[in-house]
Amino acid sequence: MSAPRTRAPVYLDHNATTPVDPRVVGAMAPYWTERFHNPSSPYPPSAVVRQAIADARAALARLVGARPEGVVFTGGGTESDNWALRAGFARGRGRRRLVVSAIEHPAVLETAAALGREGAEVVSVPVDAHGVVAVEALEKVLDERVALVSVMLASNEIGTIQPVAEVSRRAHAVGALVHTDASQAVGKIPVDVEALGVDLLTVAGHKLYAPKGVGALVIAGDLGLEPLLAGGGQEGGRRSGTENVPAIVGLGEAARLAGAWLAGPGPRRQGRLRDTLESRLRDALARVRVFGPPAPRLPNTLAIAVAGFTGAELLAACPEILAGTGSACHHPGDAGSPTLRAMGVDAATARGLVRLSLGRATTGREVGRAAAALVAAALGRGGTSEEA
Amino acid sequence: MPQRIYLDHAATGPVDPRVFEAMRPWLSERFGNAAAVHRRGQEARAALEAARAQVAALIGAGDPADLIFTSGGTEANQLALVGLSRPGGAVVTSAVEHASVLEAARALASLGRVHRQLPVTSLALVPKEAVDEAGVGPGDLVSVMLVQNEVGSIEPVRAIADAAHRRGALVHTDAVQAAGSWPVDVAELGVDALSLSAHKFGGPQGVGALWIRPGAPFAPLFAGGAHERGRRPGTVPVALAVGMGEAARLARIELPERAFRLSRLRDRLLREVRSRVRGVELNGPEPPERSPGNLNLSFEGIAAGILLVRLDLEGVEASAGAACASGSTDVSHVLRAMGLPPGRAQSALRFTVGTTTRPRDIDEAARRIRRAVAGIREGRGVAREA
Ligand SMILES: Cc1ncc(COP(=O)(O)O)c(C=O)c1O
Ligand SMILES: Cc1ncc(COP(=O)(O)O)c(C=O)c1O
Repeated sequence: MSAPRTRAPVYLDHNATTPVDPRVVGAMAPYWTERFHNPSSPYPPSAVVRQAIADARAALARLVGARPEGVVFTGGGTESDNWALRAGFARGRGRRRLVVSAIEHPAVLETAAALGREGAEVVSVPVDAHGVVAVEALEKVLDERVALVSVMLASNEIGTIQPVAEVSRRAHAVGALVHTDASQAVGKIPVDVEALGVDLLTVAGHKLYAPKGVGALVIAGDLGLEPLLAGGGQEGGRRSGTENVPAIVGLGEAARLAGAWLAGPGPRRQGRLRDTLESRLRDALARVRVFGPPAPRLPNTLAIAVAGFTGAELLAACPEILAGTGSACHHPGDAGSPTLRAMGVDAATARGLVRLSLGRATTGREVGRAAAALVAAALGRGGTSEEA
Repeated sequence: MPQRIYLDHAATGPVDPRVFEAMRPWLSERFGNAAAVHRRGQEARAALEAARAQVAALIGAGDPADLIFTSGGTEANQLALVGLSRPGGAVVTSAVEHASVLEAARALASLGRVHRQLPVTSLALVPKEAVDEAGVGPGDLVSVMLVQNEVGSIEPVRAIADAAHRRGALVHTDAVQAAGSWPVDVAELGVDALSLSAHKFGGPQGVGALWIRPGAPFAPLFAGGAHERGRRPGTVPVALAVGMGEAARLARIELPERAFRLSRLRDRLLREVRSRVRGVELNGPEPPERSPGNLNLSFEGIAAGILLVRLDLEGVEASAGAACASGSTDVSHVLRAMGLPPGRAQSALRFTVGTTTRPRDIDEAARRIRRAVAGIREGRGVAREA
């Protein structure tokens, strides 16, 4: 274990953030330099910038099957979630109930809690033992009092894909709006706003090889949402603030690259690598638990726990892997992963969550190294405590 | 085609090449999430905190932890107004604030809070007595900008802050147009909160900051995680923050030189235009009592929109007021609040110089402005005779 590390660590934390694709950096660069103009200004170079924003909007719209007019660029996933919940809920007028799944990201859960303090009736819908929203439980809380239902498309912690189309159908039947936080799904699996039937969809740029500090809220219909950020009236009055032009251009380029990647062999190959990692761990470690299966998962995500280790301990024992113990945004102290807890997993096991998330560039060799490191770390200590 | 001359640096400017170099690695090789616990996360975290310290140093903030990064000036203003105003208190702004402050105040008013506006003089200055006359009281929030974005007036923020504090109110200042060309020091200004936007001083778009005095009662706007100590949830854009930090470092070191250079260029443009074009009036304070890079000129008898088109043909890039309002043909709320006669307000254009402006650009711009004005005035003469 104390041998000097000569190789770069294996980065398996792509659900926390991704590197900006070099082609995205290339697309953005001119907009920090020659093409720096404010898109709202009246002279021709600004028209070039406006066109670049329009192209980016069209590219992202294409990736998620939306109309370009429905794409509003924001400062990131958290802002999109906050806006979707606040404005979506407000649009329900007399309706006071807000329904969220139990495994949402804090950007959704905490906004819901804030709305709760302001008078909303917040209802949390449970998930089953595999981390999938229980549609029958949802059905029970749906009636004309519901303003908005927010169910994420893919779990950030364990990668399970949620039955959002089904959620939309049932929520719409009672006249509620539907939001899905697709931060973890966009760029990893095909996402189509129309097929999902949602009214609002969150995109976070830095999860799909675009830079941090840009995201989008995709609005399916003519909802006329109250803006969260008001001021200069940019983005058609829906989101004020000088446009983050380079980042928007970057998100557009990232959307194009994601579309091409999804259409190619990438996702399959990635799924196979993830499965290889999973089976190597299962074969070598009797005490490993894998969360999610048989539920459908993102092809890049593997959520495990090894009995006898907290997630932090296991990762500390394999410094050649950079991974997370769940969402990068909350360090599940004693309570353990909120997603696992919602699945009915006991606290001790939930504290053991290690989230391994592959990227498009992750290689078979890296997966092999990661598997070996995890196995060595788990056997290195677990052997002694196994019988205890 | 002659080279175009950019005189709209108050709208935005190119990223300083040194800033771009500083940012670049944080996009690609060093892309970690600053909230992640592993090494990539830690190095991002360290870069983020170094950037925070640089921005804090620019504004004389003792503790960098009192600064939160935002997506820009608009969000910083929104956070300040929503986060520092209180349910029972009034929101008191000057009449010449940026739309992001005024819209935030209006949104609060629609939730039942009182929004009052402080009047300004014909030079767009808030009178020192305004706070007393407006009956500001405990629990109120007063927001007055440091440098006015359209006419470059420097507001008496210190005096306003003192008056507001005597009456038990909190004070925010939008320093978006000040940073980089005017001294900004939170202690000297005596405010409780201050907004910045990086793209106005050589940094990238999409990142800004809000400084909040320690102990000021601040309620966050966004929910969703412990980022920025819970005051602004959301993954922090490390590369953009690093860019803002580097821009702040350069702005601090180079401030005296930049302010001197910009005001020389500005004065030269004013002199040249005045000597070549008749019927020109300066809106806002006479230099040097004004933002170093800013000129706002009215051209007698010429509609601003027509002159802008003509200037564009001549290759001069200027604006009629704030960039975000440039689609609008209304007279700006700023010129209206100054009480300018309608004709003068309708013929006002803003010319703002920046760090990339060269002296010869100024002379050439003045020649082109003269040609554009003459073209319109002659054209009108022809139309009259026809
Ligand atoms: C599911 C989900 N929603 C929202 C977010 C927040 O997005 P951002 O980091 O861009 O604010 C994240 C990631 O952090 C996420 O995984
Ligand atoms: C005085 C002032 N405040 C706030 C802003 C808004 O900043 P941003 O466009 O970065 O949101 C601007 C510029 O647009 C401004 O000039």
